[in-house]
Parts: sequence; C-alpha cells; structure tokens
Amino acid sequence: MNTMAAERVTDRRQTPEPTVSGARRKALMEQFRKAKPAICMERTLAFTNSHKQTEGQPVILRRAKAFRAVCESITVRIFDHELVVGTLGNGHRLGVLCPEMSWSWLKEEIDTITSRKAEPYQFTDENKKLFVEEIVPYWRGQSLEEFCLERMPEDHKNIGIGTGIMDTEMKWRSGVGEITPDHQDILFVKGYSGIKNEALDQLRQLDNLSRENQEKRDFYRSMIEIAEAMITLGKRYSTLAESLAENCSDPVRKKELLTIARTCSNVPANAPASFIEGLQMVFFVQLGCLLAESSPAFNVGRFDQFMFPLYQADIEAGRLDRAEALEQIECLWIKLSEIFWLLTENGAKYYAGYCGFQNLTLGGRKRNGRDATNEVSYLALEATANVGLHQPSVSVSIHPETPDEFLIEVCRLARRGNGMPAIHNDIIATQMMMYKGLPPDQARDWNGLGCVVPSTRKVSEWTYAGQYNMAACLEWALNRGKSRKTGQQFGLETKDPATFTSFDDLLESFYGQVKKLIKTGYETTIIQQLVHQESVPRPFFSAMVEGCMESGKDLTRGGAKYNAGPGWVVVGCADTANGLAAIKKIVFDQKKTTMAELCSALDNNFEGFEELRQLLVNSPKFGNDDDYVDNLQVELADFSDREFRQYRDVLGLPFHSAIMGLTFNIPTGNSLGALPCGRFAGVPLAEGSSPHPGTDISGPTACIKSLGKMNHENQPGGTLLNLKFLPKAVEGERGLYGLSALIRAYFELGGYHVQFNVVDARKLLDAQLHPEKYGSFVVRVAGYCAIFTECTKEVQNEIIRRTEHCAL
Amino acid sequence: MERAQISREAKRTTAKGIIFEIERWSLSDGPGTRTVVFLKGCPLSCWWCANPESQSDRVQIGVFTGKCIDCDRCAEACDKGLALPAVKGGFSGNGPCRACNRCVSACPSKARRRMGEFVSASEVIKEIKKDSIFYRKSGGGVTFSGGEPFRQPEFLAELLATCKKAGIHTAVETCGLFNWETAADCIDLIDFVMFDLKHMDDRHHRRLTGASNSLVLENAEKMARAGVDMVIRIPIIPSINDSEENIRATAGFVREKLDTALGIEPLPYHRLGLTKYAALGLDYKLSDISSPDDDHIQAICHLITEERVRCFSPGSRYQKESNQSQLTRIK
Repeated sequence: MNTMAAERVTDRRQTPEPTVSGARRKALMEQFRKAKPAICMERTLAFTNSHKQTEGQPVILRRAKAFRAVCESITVRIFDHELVVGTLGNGHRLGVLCPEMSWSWLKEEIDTITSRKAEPYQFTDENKKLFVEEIVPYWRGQSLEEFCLERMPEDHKNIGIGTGIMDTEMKWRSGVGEITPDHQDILFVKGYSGIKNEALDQLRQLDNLSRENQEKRDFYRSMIEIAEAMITLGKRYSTLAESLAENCSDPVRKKELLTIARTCSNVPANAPASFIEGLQMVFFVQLGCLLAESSPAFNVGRFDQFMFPLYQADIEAGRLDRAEALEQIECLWIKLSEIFWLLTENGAKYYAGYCGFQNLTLGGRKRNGRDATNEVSYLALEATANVGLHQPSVSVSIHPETPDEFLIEVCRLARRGNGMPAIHNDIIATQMMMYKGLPPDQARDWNGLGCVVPSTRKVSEWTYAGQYNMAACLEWALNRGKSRKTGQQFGLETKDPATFTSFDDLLESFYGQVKKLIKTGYETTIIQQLVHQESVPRPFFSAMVEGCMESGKDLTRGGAKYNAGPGWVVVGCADTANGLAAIKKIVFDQKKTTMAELCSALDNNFEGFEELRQLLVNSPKFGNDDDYVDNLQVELADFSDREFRQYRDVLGLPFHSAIMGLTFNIPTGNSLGALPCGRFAGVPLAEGSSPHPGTDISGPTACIKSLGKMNHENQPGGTLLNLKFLPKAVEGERGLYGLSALIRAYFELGGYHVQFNVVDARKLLDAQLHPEKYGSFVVRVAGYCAIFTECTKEVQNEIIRRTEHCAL
Repeated sequence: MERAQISREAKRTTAKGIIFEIERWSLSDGPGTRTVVFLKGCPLSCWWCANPESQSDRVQIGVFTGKCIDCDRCAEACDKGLALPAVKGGFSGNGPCRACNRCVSACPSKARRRMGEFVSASEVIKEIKKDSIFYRKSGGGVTFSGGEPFRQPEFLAELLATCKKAGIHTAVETCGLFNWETAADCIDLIDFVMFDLKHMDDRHHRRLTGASNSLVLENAEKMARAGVDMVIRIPIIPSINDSEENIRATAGFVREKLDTALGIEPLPYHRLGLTKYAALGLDYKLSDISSPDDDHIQAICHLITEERVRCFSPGSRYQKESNQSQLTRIK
C-alpha cells in the first residue's frame, strides 16, 4: 500500500498541466495584477443613507436594513473570463470603509492615503469629497471608535494607543471579523431562503411580547433582512449574467455566462447543487462578510470537507472532470485574493500586505476522529500552487494518520517558497479548542482562523482581543517602570535594578510589570466588548453560526451555541527569555558585569559598551535546544496563560493567551530601547513564538526542539514558528522528505504550527531593489502571505534578516 | 532518569577522540535526517578540501576578521605574546601556539574560535541523541565524517557500538585511506558507508591529494566484500578530476568491483570553506575555479548512467535498484 502511495505521489507530479486551466488562469491573473487596490464608497454611502432613514429603530435592525440596502444597490459586475463572480463595488480590488466602526482615521489620512509608504490605496477626488461631505458629518460622534475612546480611562489610552506596548486597535476601530461561516450545517444545507423561513417560523412562535421576546423579535426581523439581502444580491448577478449572455457573440463565453446566471439564481438563496454552485456560495458569503463588517479573518473553513460531497456527485454524474474542478477552484482563489481589509497607516504596520486573512483549512480529521483528507484536499493544494497569490491563506491540518502522500504534497507546495501552506498539528489544535471549552468532537472539527488561530464554525470568540509587548515589561523592570525610549512612566515603579542581588529579584520586578500590563489589557477588552454589544451587533454573522437562530440572540450577546473568551497575544517572548537568560548568565552566574553597568549600557544603546554587548549576544539564545534559556521561554508562556486565565469577559468566559503575531514584532520593537539580549534600540522583536531572527544558529532540529518544549496547548490563540530555508537546503526528494520529517517530529513534540519560507536571500534583495521584476511574488510574512514587493521596506528587511537554515 | 543513564555511559567510556564539529539536520550525508560528527585529522590534503580544519589532528585556533571588534583582549590574555586581534592578523609571527584557549575565552565577540576538541564518546552520544526523534521520523541516523573517521578506530568503534545499542542507524563517510585491520572492529557496526573516490589515476591522485589511491581502492573492495551498503562519491572539481575518462573509470570500477554500492553520487565543488582557510592563515590552491552548474552535473550523471551505474544526482534519495518505496521508513 505504501508503494502505491509513493507511485501516486510521482504520478501527480508528472501529470501534465491540464489544458483546460492555463489560459483562463493567466488571463484572470493579468486582470488581477493590473488592478490597483482602491477605496470604494458604494457600500459606505448606501449603509449611511439607510441609517438616515432608520433612526430610532433597534440597532440590530438598523444594521440589517443597512446591509440590505447595500446589497440592493452596489454595482454588480462580471469580468471577462470569470467563472466565480462578485465584487464589493465597481472594480476588482476594493477596500470597504465602515464609518460606523471608524471614519476618523481616513479623514486624518485623506491626503496621504494614496501615497503612503505602507499599503497605499487609490481614492478618487470625487470619493474623497463624498466622504468628507456626506459620510463624516453623519457619523461624527456615532462610531464604535468614538464610543470606545470615550469609555477608556486615560491610563488605558496612554499605554494602549499608538505606543507599541499594547494594541487593541483591531477591536476599537474595526468590526470583530474572526469568524467561520457554518457551511456544513447551515449555508450549504438551508441557503438564505432556509434561514429566512426559520426566522419567520421563530417569529410566529413568539407567543407573547415580553421584554425578552421583544429583543428576539428584533433579532428575527434582522435575520429576515439579512437573508433577503443575500438572496437579492444573487438574483442581481443572475440577471446581469443573463443580459451579458444575450449580448455575447462568443458562444463559449455565452455558455459560461448562462451557467453563471443559473448558478446565481440558485445560490446563495438555496443550498448549492453542484461544485461550481458551492464555490459561488463560498464567495457570496465572503462578499457578505466584507460588506457587513469589513474586518479581517472571515475564514472559508474546511473547504475540502464541505466541497467534497458536491465534487463527488458531479464527478459520478459525469457533469465535471478533475481538470474542470481545478480550474473552478483557481477562479475562486483569484477572487479571494481580490479581497483585502482596509487599513489605517498604523494598522498597515502590523498587518501589511493587502491581505484579507481568509483562512482555508485542508486535511485534518472528521468529528469521529478518522482522517478527513480527500481528493478536494489535493485539488486545493494544486490550485494554490498554480495560482501562487496570497489568498486564501491555506492551512493544512496534520495528524499521525495523515497520508504521507498528502504531507509530501504539502511539502512540495511549501518548498515553492511563497510561504503556503501554514502547517498545523491537528492534535494540539484539538486540545487548544478543548481548553477554550469545546467538547472533543467539536474540537476535532476545528479550522484555521486568520493567520494561525485554531477556531471552529461553531464558536463565537474574539481570538485576537489585543496584543501586549512582553519585552516592554523587561525594559520597565530594568528602568523602574519607565520607557527607555520616551521616559514615560508606563509600568510600576519597581525597585532600582542596581539593587537587585539575585536573579529572583529581577524576576519579581518583571512579573509585577507583566501582571499590571495584562490587567490593563483585560480591562480594555471588557470596555470594548460592552461597546460592541451596544453599538455594533452582528446580524449577518449571527445568521451563519449555530445557536443564534435557536436562542434568538445576536453573537455579541452570546447567542452562539459555543462561546470562547478573548485571546491576547504575547509579543517579544523570545527577546524577553533571551534577555533574562543573558542577565542570569553574565550578571549573576559569571559576575562579568553588574546590574548598574548593564543598565547604563542599555541607557546608552550599548554605545561604548560593545564588549559587554558581545557577552550578552553570545549568551544562550532561545531556539538552540539549550535548556538554560528554553526553560525561561516555557515559564514566560505559561505565566501569560495563568495570568489571563483568571480574568472573565462580559459573557463570563476566561481570557486566554497566544504567542503568534502578524508583523507585530516590528512596531513593538520600534517602541523599545536596547534590551539585555544584546539587541539594539528599535530593532524588531522575535516573531510569534519563533526565536529572535538570526539567533537560532544550531539548525532547524535544534530550533524545533526548543519550540517543542513549550506547552502549546496552553496558548489556545495559537503559536507560530517561521522557518526559512534557502532553496539549496531543501532541494530534491531529500529536501521534500526532510521537511516532512521535520513536521512529523515537531508535531510529536507537541508543536502547533510551522511555516516555511524557502527563498534565496539574493532573490529577496533583488526583489527589494527591482520590485518591477517581481510583480506578484508572494512570501509568507508571519502567519499570512503577502506580495513581497507590496510590503514595506522594514517588513522586507525583516524577511531577509531571518536565519537562513542551510544544509550545505 | 536520562541523566542517570548518561552518567552510567560516562563511566563506561574509555576512549577520547578529537572532533571539530557536530552538525545537526543534514539531509545530504546518508539516508534521512542525520547528525554528522566530524572527526579531526586526515591523511589527505586535497586541494579543494572544504574543511581545512579537518586535516590536522590537533586543536587549532581560527581567527575571524569579520567578527573582530579589535578590543585587544586576546593579546592581553596570551602569555606567550602570540595572539593579536583578527583584524591585525590574529597571530604575531609563527610562534608555537599550543591552543591553550586563553585568547578564545577572552574574546567577547567569538572572533577567535577553537577548532577541534578532545571529547569522550559519551559527550558525543549525548549530542547525537538530541535528534533521535528526527531520525525516527525520517529513517535517518548518525554519520561519522571527517577528516578521516577510521583514523580514530577505538573512539569510532565505541561511538558506533553505543549508537547501534540505542537503535540509531550508523553511517560513515570515508576517504578510504586507512588501515583495514585496525578499523575491522568498526565495520560490523556500520549500516551505511559513503566512500570517496577522488581520482582513479594514481599520478593525479598523488598530486591532488598528497597520497596514492592504491590503498583507497583496496579498502573500497574490502568494504564491498564485507557486505556494507555504500554510495561512492566523487567530488566534481571542474577541470581537475571531472574528465570523461576519470568518470567512466570510476564508474567501471564501481560496476566491476563494488557489489554493495547503490551507485555513484557526484558532489558539486563549492567554495564555502574559504573563510576557514583565511581563519587558519592557509593558502587556498584552487582560487579561480567556480562551482559546477546543474548542466555540468547532469552531464556527469549521464556518463555514469551510460556506464550502467546508478547515479544519485544532488537532492535525490539513496534507494536500492528495486525501486522499493522508502515511504515505509518514514513513520
């Protein structure tokens, strides 16, 4: 059987590229490349106008009606060659502004948005005028941002806004996002007509209008608005396709347009009846998500699981062949790449890359614990390799019974160098979900969310409530609570570090600082959760998560069957562990320097202290399989978990910790002075739970051993390991099997996630110098993929700087 | 419990050997994922040697200009007055450095590095075992390379025996020039050998490596008769040893004399060792040769295949002719 498996692997590679696919993909990619990301005002305007007409009505109903107004009025467009259709307005790559969340940033950045360094957007003068004259006046004083800022105490604002120490911008300036539609049990079964009918039934069953039932009534009326909106959007596309077909002289395209018309007349209103209808349903739902909330992390979920029955039925009926299915998937992938999350200039520092963070998960296990890999899993990998764009964010879930041939295909894709897919340990992800409170069978059905977070379509949660800079706490412990960069008193006024007589003294001050920062984070989240409940309920999303229809309650009020507490991300864990280890070694073990001298070296950013810096640089570093420092990393991660775990959110659920991070490490590093690990002021911190760039010098196995010591299941918001290889190191079959063994070993050690960047540093430098030569060259930035040439120079340098593991 | 086991092993240990590096995660020195232990000391001095520190069987001090911060700590520490900062040349004159290590410990920036260390077998085993999980997952193990590992037969035998006991797959990479009798204890403990054949023409072999190839070829045949699976490796140094004649002669020898050889693997010459020559103050004899490109290697492979010998191109996995899948080993 294993021999057969091996043959299958070889066969796949040798299969010539299907003729059906190439041309259309190329044409669509060309359209994609030509389209420049732009801000579109259609949704913004329709949403605002609707609100003007619904003043005084329940908030949830107003939001649902506004959504309906959007779906009834935005431009519908079908572009050449497309098989999967739909846009967010009049164009390809459009950012949607939600003024009800935040408008102020765009007003502030209106003159720079088209020219800024990180992620500029096109924004026409006409739209600018519309924004300033129509949108801003209506939402002034009425946005999520203003409500949140009004409620946040000054202390919390001082430390939590624009500091690089704590950041919750994603929750006070943006919708929650972070959700996976329940395609399996809701959308692919009922369609929006089914949802509408259920809401009508529920309304009929309300036997009296008690206070509670009044709220339910508002909720069900909202559900009907949402369902009607989606059904209308589909019908509008169907009508458009029909009229385009009528005027189409090319008989081939005419036939395609008629198929599109038929598809859109069935979905999203009804359950998809064919493979292409399934794909179109997925994309309509993604569009709906963006139009409703324009946030990151609207995940596709377990694509191979809900698409396989449709694939199998079409194949068996002879309606579809494998090559056609592949082409259709590629069409969806290109459409998903068009979607991005509109970012502020500050946000662009953290989440660079015109990314939508639409995670799509392949492989894994079924609820009954058996392997779930199927033909669509392979097709999706192939489509990802063929398209080579940055979306969807493909995750694979690997468990001990994952077929070796699937893992080898995963490695083959990973080795192409664009950072896909993210590779996850199914077993640990399941444990994380159980830690978040799900029963084992639901936990096994997990899917990736955003960059590397485990979640499921059944759960409602804030996976990323915010992030805090742990290395800042070390800075404060060594500076009596003051920022070394600005001198501000952010932390507790702890003991003078010169008086520390033991390593424990240092730890005591440090942990005191961490506790205080975590408490501030917890309080900030509570405020924001309350504001979300009051001002931005989520009717669109409540329609696609089990439990809300039954309970008659919105997601923000705990309507889902399963809810989990908020997750907070630790940044700079390795820098902190390295710093503590260096002090332990150089000051307390070897007594080569004093605390006083160390602090003055840090004050001077090591100027005049190069010898001491070298001692610090050459002390144990996390990522080299050295217990001296690895044990500290484990302790820090566990501490963060314990500390968050004691706090409860507005629904009474425990907070949890995560060590992942997007490009958080750059602004957080920027906010700090020199650190005792030998790092200069301003330099980016370590990424997620990865070692600090360039310090893991003992090869990938040592790095993986270090990471494997951490208790990943205690970080249910995810951990992240980025390993970068030069192509030479992983060439040939040896490389493929070598990578696959690294993954199997890391997962047996209890690791959660790993991703590979296989790229030549020279190529990266060249791409930086000559972006025009590289076009849509995709690299994984940190848990997500972005187009390299569209990243800021800082992010580019960061990618280049990472250790290049090279087995030469 | 792990600690107790190590100390028991430490007590049993008798042999000490000299090594210059332990490299984890190698994919190109035997089947699967391997830890490579480099034993120091080699009877050859090949012009292209990528590890010049492998040749001497003594501890050496390397100085790295790029890391030097010119703080003079090394000069202060040296009681013989020999050490100088790397940027000032590293050593004054040619005095007898005994590698006492004072300058290395004094250097804050790791610009001075000790090359070579006398270690017990148990210390090496401890390092090897760190990656056991990766061997299990990949069908890999440990590879003893060099230098010439058979030059330290007792040390090597103890390492091999301990690894075998722990169920770790063992491989040896040899230049072939060693005393078969003293190495005999090792042979039974070896699962796999990578055997270098640098040149079939003895005149060239002497010129390029400093020694005759007659014992090399004799040992290769003995290794095959001992029934050890091997891969024959030829370092491909453009214009030096890559003539069609030499490649065909090597392949012919493998075909006729070495039954247990799975095939030949051409190793593309590279110049990554240049920094180490500078660090040791040694001259590099092949200053104007560049690495062979893929086409060049493919052409060599073509010659080997024409001689009806299997060729393992860079990146391919070692597999027996039966073409049986190695997936079975990856669990």
